[in-house]
Amino acid sequence: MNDMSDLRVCEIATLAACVIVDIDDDIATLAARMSLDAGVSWIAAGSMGAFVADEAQHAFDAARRLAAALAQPDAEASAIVTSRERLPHEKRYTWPLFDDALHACDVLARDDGTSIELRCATSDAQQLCAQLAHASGLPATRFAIRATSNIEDESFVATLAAVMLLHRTGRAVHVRGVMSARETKDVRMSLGASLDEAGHLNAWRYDADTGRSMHETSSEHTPNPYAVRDETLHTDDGFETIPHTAHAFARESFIDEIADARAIDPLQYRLAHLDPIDDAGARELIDTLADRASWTTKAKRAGNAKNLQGRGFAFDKRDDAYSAWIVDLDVNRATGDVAIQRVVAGSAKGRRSIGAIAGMSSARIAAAASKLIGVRLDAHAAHDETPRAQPLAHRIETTALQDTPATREAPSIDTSPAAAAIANALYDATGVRFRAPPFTPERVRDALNGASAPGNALPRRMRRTLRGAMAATGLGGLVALACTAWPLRAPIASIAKPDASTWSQATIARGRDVAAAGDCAVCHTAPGGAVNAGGLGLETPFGTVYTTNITPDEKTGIGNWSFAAFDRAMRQGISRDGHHLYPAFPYTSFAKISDADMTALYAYLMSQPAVESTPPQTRLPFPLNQRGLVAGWNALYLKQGEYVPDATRSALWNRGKYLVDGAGHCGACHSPRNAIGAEKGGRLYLTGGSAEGWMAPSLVANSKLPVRWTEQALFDYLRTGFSHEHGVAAGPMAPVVSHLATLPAEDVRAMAHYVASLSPVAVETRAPSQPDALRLHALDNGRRTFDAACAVCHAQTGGVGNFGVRPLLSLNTSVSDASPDNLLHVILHGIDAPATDELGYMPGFKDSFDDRQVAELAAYIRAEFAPREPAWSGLAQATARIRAAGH
Amino acid sequence: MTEPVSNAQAVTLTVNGCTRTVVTERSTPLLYVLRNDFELNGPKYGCGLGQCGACTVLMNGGATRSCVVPVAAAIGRETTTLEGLGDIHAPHPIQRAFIDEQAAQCGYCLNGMIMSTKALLDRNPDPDDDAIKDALRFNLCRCGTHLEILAAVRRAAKYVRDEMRACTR
Repeated sequence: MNDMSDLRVCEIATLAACVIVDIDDDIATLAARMSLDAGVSWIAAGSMGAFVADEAQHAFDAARRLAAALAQPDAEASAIVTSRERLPHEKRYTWPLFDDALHACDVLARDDGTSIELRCATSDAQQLCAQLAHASGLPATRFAIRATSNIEDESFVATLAAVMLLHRTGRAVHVRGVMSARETKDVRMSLGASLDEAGHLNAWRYDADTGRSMHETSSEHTPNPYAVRDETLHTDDGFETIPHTAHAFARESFIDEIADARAIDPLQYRLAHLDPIDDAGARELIDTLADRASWTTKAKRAGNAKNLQGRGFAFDKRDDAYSAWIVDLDVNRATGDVAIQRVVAGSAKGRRSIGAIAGMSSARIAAAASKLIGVRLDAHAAHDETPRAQPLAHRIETTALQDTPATREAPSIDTSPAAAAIANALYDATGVRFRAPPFTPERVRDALNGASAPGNALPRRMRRTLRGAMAATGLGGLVALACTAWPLRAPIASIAKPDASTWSQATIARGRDVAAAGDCAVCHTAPGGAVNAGGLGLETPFGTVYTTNITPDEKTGIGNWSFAAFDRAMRQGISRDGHHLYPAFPYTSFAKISDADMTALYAYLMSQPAVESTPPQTRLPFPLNQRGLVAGWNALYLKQGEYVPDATRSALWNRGKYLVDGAGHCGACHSPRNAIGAEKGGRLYLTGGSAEGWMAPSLVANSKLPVRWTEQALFDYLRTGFSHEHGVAAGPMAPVVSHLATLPAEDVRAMAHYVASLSPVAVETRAPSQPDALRLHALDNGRRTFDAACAVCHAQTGGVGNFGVRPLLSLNTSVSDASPDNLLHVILHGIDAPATDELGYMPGFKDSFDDRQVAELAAYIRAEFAPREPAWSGLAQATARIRAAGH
Repeated sequence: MTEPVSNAQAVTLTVNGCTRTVVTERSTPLLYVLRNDFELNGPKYGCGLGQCGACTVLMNGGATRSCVVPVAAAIGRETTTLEGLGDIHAPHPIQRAFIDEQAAQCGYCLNGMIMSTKALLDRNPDPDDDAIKDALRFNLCRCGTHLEILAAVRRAAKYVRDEMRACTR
């Protein structure tokens, strides 16, 4: 830590250098000339030279220009490629090597008069010292090496260059980059293919060279993952400088061009060329990512007057490792700025089956994409990703942060599809094919201008997008308005039940989590009935609403529902046949679920066992049985559109809010509802409601509570059903907790974090005051009942402790609640289905105590354990009411 | 009204080290299954509401009032009843202490007293009188043998300590 800060202080007074090795006289002359233009110094010694400047960025710019100059195509070498036999589809791609050739480093050299101090990463300082002495001719005792890390070594060249530059300039030198002049040439790749009648790949030819012909053929570096009849691979890469990324770029762009020419979905086209058995692992990865990105289920975004929108896919395979990227981006029509919106990327291993799909860190995604579009990007895990798990989906933003000249990271299979995915998305958006990175705003703008210059027709894609944009804003808006106001909706055609193998295991597992967060089974399972087969009667102020069968049974369940029908039901509350569902089904919350999660949920439900079961019909009294009226209700209260994260809040907070407001539909019980059953928002959001005869406490700061709910207390409660400071989950909350217990802990953490943030101001903790002795005397009966019936488990001390938790009533939310209902529920009916296994059980006392005894007991508990709260009135009547309501 | 449905199912329990499967509803109190199916009559039916402690057994070593815990709670846990401590030929030191002190009148509460003492001594091998009284506070005895029981627990603690010493020697 100390060393690093020292280094930064030194940086101000030191020179920064970018070192070029493997130079010859011609390159040295060129570099010297270019250094004058760039306003930096060029210092050469033997086969090594360096651009030196006060700021690292200037040195890097000079090196980049030199690389660009060196990379001028070589006419003779290109001729080799074109001399081959032509194939029906032929395209060429270029990959600049500069960015891969430049290696970032961090070596500082300074002379304090007695010794040359070198700070760099080294695992063996002594050996480095000896090598430097040998190469520089200086005595080894002159060097003082301070290792900044002993895990990985800086290149020896960088340290030697630092010493050389220190010697030549007489100033402290900070070497920030090393590049080999040999590796700066562009890679040229030429691909050709012929197709059979069905559009399948027949012949496949691949040539790549660096224009520095060694005529050494090697094909092992250019595997083609796709099945073809006849394959010719030729890579002229004697120095082995072509990165895998370049091959992936050319191949994946080319496949995309062929698929586009044949008007086939590019993702399906690739799948058609991957073996169902040998490439099962790769197919599973692609399927999972496609589901995650809603590749097939979501219509292409329409774009608008300012931006063109597009999405692209690319895949790469090396040995038994795969990776794939799906990129969604916007292109500014005027400036050519490329704004990547979202990246869904993942990698996996294993030929026939894969254990788990690994996501990538957002930092790596951002680094790879930044390099390609020449704009510094920032990536965050999407709000529908579990925190800290390796995310598949990332939200991308342009950031104002200063770029670091190059990343230390070596190109890897994880990021190799990035370039082609972006190029394919750019084509999708603009109709212009970019066959060489980087996709900087200048290049994109030039391409857009070129394509739409007078005399040139608009590219095909752009015309289509324009029409789409017009439809979406004009006519589409009217249609949407008409539909909202129209009480009857069209049925969506039934489909044959989709096979569970349609989705990858990862997607189904994800859907299971969404279902758990949404507690589908809690409402859609009748007591003792099959899971999700429906039939539970929900008591609402308007009458009993019976839940439906959501197993994939084709006759009585949702087996014949297409995704479109399911999605409409979840987001708009309209059944497949077009009738309105009652808002007891919380579609107002589910509308906020992300597309990917909705796809996964559909996949999960469709892959569960089908149960033939017809639940009772919901019969509400007139006029509520006129389901068309719900359309009016929807017009008032249904807000369309999935959750939009708040960029000013943390990822954890956004994840929590997404879960709480979306799938979790916490507000369904914990927000008060108005006279016609809509959740009240604004100041009343999550301030407490009711459910099935229980009070759902407020989730925002409640001055009535003896102890404020903290994030940790909420986490414990949601995760285990018990918080030491607040009590146990009971009533309708118990099954909710039992589902939350199966979610990743980080998701529950996020929900706790968000809910805790709703009560940011600490409520002063009050010292419990002694209850009035006289008042307690009047409560003697209740006290005796408490000591006999309750104290064994609920006394502060005493006993040997019994199975389960020991909820202390002085901290219990139910005891300090304004209404006695929850406490009376528990006293009368006990807890026979605890939220989690470790909580223990409580017997119900409805058959032991009459209403008067229960009322006395409740009055005593209130006076003893919530002394600051006013006594409850009408306890005997309330007891009778709750006894009659039953469990 | 719908007909009452029997949800009886096979439930596998480990009691006193033996694993057995019985057919019962998951919500049946553990006490009934222990007494009726396992024929272990050490745990007694007292109040049926978890108040008197006569039904106490150990689940994973912790005292449990088996009349208010459904049999489902014992699935996957080790249940120990009075019979699991010792028998007439080889009584457990705690049982020996209760015999030596003749700490019973009707004896109905003694199962709970002994099982709670076991839970206490596992946690605190050398309790003073206050600790003993506090631990047995919620085990009810109607005959008034409290002083004999107190003496028995003191003696039991000594026996258990002696035995542990003998083992470690």
